[in-house]
Amino acid sequence: MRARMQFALAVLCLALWNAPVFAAEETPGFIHDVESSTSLRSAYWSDSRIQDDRRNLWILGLWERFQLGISNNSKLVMDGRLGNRGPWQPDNVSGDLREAFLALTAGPWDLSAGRQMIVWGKADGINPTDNLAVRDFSLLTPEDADQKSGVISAKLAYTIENCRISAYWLPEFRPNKLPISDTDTTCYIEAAPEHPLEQWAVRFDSLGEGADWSISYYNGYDKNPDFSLWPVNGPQLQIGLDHHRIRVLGADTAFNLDRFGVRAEAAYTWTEDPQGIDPFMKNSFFYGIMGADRTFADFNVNAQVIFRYIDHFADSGALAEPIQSLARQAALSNNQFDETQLGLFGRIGRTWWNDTLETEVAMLYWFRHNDYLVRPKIKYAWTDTLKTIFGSDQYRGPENSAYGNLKNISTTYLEMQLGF
Amino acid sequence: MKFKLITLFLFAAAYAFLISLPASAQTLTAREIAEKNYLAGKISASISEATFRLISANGQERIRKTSGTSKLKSGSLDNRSLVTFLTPADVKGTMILTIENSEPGKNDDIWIYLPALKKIRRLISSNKKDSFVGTDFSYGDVIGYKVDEWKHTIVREELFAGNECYVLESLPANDQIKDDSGYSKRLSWIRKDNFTALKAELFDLNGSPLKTIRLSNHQQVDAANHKWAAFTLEAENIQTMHKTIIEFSHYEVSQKIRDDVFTPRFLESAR
Repeated sequence: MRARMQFALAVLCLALWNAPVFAAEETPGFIHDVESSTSLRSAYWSDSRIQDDRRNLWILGLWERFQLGISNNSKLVMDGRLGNRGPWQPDNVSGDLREAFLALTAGPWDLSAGRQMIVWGKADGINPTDNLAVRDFSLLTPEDADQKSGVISAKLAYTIENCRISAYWLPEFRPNKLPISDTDTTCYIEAAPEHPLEQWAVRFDSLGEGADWSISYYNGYDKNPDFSLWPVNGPQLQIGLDHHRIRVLGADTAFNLDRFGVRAEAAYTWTEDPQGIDPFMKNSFFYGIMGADRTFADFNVNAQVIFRYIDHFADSGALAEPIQSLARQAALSNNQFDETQLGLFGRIGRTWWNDTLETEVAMLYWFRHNDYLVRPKIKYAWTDTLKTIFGSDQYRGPENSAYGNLKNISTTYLEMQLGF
Repeated sequence: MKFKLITLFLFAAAYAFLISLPASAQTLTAREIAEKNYLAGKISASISEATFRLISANGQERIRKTSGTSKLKSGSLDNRSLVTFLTPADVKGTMILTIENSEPGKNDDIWIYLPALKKIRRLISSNKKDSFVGTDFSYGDVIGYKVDEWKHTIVREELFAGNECYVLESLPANDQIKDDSGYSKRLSWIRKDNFTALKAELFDLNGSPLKTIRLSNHQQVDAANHKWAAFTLEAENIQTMHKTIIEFSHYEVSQKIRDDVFTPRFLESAR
């Protein structure tokens, strides 16, 4: 099966590679022979983004993106980073090859293969359909997008006018990294799924005049772990980070309505525990977000309502200890602590002095437990190459709430970026 | 009888003389001048490279290099344009696709591709007053203004930069156009010979002078269709004293540009 798929992919690559180039037509200069972007970053973070009580961290990082235009219809893209994640010790230095893929285009066909970051979702900031890219929530970087990374995948897309159908094969599994770490009493063990080759996705999207929309389906492993209790072996409690299979049906849209930019996105996720029997495994759930943005007196204001519904919800309070504590922690980490959740996401931003200064405040508020995250951020471009970013993540709320549980990873940062 | 014949002959001669005059010398209405100016900027398809210089009040300069492509929709005068930022590093790879929609009730479409997010984002197209990627030009200045959305009046005729010009006052046709564009009035200096604009003075919603746009270094880029393009564009914000100068280093009219370049899909595949 695997050999047959690989053979088919190789034949397709060869066919696209030899496809006629649009010799009689011109393409604007988006492909240059060699392009590279380098970003050197130095930052101070008051607290880490892991629940480990580390404070006053100095972070250095090198981010590099390289693109080689091989021909008019093919290119090679590589993107990676290297830096320390904590105090200067060899084991705190890490790197990540975020992308390394070859992309080919031939008429209506697009093929790309390699490690690539596939980002889905038209809502602002929160994307229930975005299940293909990997995210390291512990990475100390001001931009959420920089926490994302790719997985090895092959994408084949066919376009007819404004519509496109894309199919993805995702033979590599990489988990999201949550803000948790080993302690004196607890040890987390990442458990790799058994059949990573059997992951795939399809998406139909329409991008054109009037409105953009898409429908997507993902059948693969959940990048966010479920917790499991391992047999006691030594003084530490061993908790397994298991990744079970999920199926996600999603849809999104974006369109303009008078002076409002309307965005909506929703997904239903079927887990391996649709009846909610296993207290450690996520139940099937619905996750939707809808809102609009508009500019008022130079301020861009974005407001989105978020709704989550957990199927066959069962309160972990009825369980015996220590299972109850672990199930409660799992429910909080996976945002499955309540049957229904209603939240509000808001972002107010403004640029000043011809985009030299950018300011914004983003906030996510959950109504049930009054827990929230506030993220103010200021970016100032001293020159075309030198930029300073100052910001903060502040989690607040009661202990038995998703964001109250993350209070101790609240942090404030100052980063200098030199780009060339 | 003889007198009548002479009168008739004189009228005929005068009429023949009048219709033989170049179009610019005929009496044109303000709307006709605005329309001819609108059409003068409609180049069938082009490829260009430009440098944007953003200069602050204290003289600090930021430079962006771009490549651009434009093409009119088939059978229409609606323009489609794609601008790709090549430098500096923090905006490199940013692409902006604008599609003009002149059909009644339809808004223009604007998408932006931000490489850091790896996403295409649809912008609110009615926000024509928003700055075009930090420059002193707004999205409206870049896309252009639809003739019938403004009420035009010829204020005067005068010599400007050595050219005979109409000075046209354009007022928004309604409050929505006014709010969306961010201008309560536009004054345009339009050449009588080829109807290209040389200068525009723009007034904010309170009626105060906001910006001056100067267009110079015009070159005939499509001789067959009598099309001219300004190779230097300068927008100065009078209130902030910030200015942007766009200089085209290359501009070529080309009929070989693929239509699929002007699709959001192209932005994704070009990432």
